[in-house]
Amino acid sequence: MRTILDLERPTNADRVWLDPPSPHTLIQRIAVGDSAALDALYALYSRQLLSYLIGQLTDRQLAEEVLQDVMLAVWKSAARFQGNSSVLTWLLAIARHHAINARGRRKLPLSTLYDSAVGHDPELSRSLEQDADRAQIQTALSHLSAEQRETLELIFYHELSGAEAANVLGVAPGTIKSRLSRALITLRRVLRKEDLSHE
Amino acid sequence: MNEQHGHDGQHWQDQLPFYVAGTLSEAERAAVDQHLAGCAMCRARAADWQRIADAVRADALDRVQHTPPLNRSLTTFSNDSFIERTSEMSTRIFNPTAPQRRVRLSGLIGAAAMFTLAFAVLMLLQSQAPKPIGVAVLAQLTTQPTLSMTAANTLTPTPTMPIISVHVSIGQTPCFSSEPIDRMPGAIPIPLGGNPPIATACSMLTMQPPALQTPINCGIITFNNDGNGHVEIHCSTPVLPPNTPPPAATLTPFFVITAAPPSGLGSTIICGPSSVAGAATAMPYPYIVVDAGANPDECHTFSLAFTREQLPGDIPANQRPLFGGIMMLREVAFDKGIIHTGDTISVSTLWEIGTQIQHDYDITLQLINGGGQILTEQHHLLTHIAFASPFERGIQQWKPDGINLNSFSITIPKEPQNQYILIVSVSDINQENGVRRRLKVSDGSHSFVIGAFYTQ
Repeated sequence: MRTILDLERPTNADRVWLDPPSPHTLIQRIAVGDSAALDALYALYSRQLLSYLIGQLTDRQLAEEVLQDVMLAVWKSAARFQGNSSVLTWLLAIARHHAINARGRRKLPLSTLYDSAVGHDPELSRSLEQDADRAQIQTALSHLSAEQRETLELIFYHELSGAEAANVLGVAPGTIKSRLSRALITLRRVLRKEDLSHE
Repeated sequence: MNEQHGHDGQHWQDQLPFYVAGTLSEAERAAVDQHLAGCAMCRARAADWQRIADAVRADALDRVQHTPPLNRSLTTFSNDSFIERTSEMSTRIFNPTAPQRRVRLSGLIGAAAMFTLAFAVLMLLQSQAPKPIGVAVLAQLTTQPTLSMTAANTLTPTPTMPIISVHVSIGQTPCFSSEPIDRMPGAIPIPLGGNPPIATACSMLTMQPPALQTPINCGIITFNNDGNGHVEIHCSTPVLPPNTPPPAATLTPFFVITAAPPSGLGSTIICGPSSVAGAATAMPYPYIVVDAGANPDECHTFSLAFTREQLPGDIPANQRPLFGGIMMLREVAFDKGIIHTGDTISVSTLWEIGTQIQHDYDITLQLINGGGQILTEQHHLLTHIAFASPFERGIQQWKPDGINLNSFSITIPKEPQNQYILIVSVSDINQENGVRRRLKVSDGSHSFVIGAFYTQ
């Protein structure tokens, strides 16, 4: 396992990067205490992480606080990042667990609708309403469970693969598929203006 | 599932979100392209996913107009704040004046002693983390700590008996031995992905559930990592299906347990790969969770979760039978994310059934307390389950023809200081010539521990 002794301590010259360093390089730099690398990593991922955290916490101020906690965790644990996953996946996993903790502190609900509550849609083949514009679909997204929204966001916004999303969420890849499928079913129902409460 | 598509159709439909997201490999993308060229249904669905993807991206972008500046105090983070957080944790955990808290004096003393030792070790091991600017390096360690555990040999029907100690060594140098304690002090999870934890304390759950042949001796080990904590249960006698080779490691990760975070309360869940050096590859976490919390208001709260891929009963693709009957527990779901004692919860089990001849299945859910008493036992009998051609001969590909969802309703007892496990079992029973007999091919029955928890 890599230790801090395996990496040379950065010099000031090291902090002048001629080429943008890779995310993995940034983590290595952070691991040896290079705060400039932390800045660079933050510049690279803070927008994505903040968006994710706001989605999880629904409170921008709290999300910003948690984002700082996430970066603190990165600062402290970078030496033990083993590179088995992408940096983004690792960061999202950290962010997720900090968000869970923050929700626990604030007693925010973990989930509004459990995946299985949606059930099976016999009209699986029906398409989304053709006239459903983006705004309508964005509104319809609020009818999804927290897990479904989170999964959609990891797949489409953060562009994680199924395996990566499963890793971040700590679930089986099959669960990702089922969440996506159920999310699609729910969105179709909502866009057909069916009342979910009557399901 | 659409009949026109069959199983292949499901495969393509599963691929479409990732196709739209652009995260498929080139080969996978080319295959989907080829399929879409001849499948109007999937083209329509892909268009749906594209609309959803656009909306999700727009939704995510709408939330973030600017990002705040990086807090400069991050890079001057010092051990002081670590001490603050750890002290806060100790205050929360060991506050003897907390109302309604049931803490025996001996347990309190033991726990306090444990914490003192744990804190000393934490401070020592903290030096492995990148050193903040301006803080002296106390020690530099090049060897990860190793962990060993001494378990008791006797069953303990209640969680009040201290029966285990944790020993941590760095290299050949012992640096920490926990005092036996009677309670798990609580911690918060570390991110998935595997940072080596630092063990600080442990306690023990030991049960002899009637449904299982061997007692479960579970050590609850509290870890701390960068000020966060991570609790795992290691099972000294793991419940494994027949014909499963024993794990290489003596201590097999068995459950994952998380409890109240030091700076707050509530329940969180981790189901993920072990971060314990030496034990990580032996067996991934098959199960679940306990959350007893550390605060009197929260101590009756816990969470359950489940992940399928690590089921011990899951049979590798190349070992699945070509014909016969088989049933696999695919998913366990709970209707509540946070559960309190006294709550009635719905537990749903989703099974994959593949069978070529007619079978009867008996699915049982049991809630068993620490004394081995069955508090709840419910059965779902599935009779005359028969599907044709569940397996493709010669291909050895798992082709489940039946998905069966069963829901059980159980009430979690509201009683202090007891421990419980939740077990789901399936017996594969065939009715033949009027005689109920177990089928060889399915090994008769399997039991899965899907949850373990205790109340304070």
